[in-house]
Amino acid sequence: MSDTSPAPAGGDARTALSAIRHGLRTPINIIIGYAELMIEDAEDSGQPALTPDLQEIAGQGRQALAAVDRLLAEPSGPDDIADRSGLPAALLPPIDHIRAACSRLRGQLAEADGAGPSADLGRIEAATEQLRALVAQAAPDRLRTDEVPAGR
Amino acid sequence: MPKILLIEDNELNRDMLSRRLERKGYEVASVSDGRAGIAAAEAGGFDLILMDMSLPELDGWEATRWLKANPATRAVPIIALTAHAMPGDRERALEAGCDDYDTKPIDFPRLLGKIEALLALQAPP
Repeated sequence: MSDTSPAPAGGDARTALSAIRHGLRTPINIIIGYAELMIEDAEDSGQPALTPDLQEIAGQGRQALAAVDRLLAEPSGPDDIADRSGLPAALLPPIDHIRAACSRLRGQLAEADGAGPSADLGRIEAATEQLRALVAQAAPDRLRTDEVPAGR
Repeated sequence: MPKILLIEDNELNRDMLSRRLERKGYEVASVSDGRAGIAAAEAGGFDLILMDMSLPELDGWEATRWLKANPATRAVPIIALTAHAMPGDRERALEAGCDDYDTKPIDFPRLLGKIEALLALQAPP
């Protein structure tokens, strides 16, 4: 299936592309930033067991960022339309890895102190769901919002 | 302790970046739009400004031009931050008067390096 949502021409295309990039990069920024912040917190508070999953979240966030930059590069000319159809295939695997790591962290935090997930973990989870919804919006023919691809 | 003014409309970005900078020993004050950023900068006391370029009320480009046109604030270094990260954004930010530019997601060690380099230029010999 090819991209069915052509962007406007010229400056409008660049503006639209810039807006999509901004929209996708903002939750990725939250995911990576809070994961790195939680890594620093874990190291300071003597909870190194949390670090591998947090590093997984930050690493998968960086993979998602690289995919956004690759797939939504600036068009080389008016006929070069950014192909957003590849976004789900490129972004859903890292999103699902982040979800899984968050789930494991929830369990670890509950076992550690019984207090449940931290507010920062909740922020990462919310940003992850926001990112997934944005992917669905950017390539609506490839992903229904309630669809969870199997085997990702 | 160097004091940084963070002008950023996204609440989570403000929280996250403020906490990371404070952990590194900086004092951070934050506001959420360009007009409030200008008012805070003009009130004085900041060693450096981190300026999100996509701001409500008055965007980061306009706020930077304003601050760099004001003799009271023009010496305060400004680092532009943007999640658009499009080719040409860096040049636009520097033309507006920003002293450096970085993209979001933040590469925190890289941003720290830029902050430290600009603060070193401000320090007396």
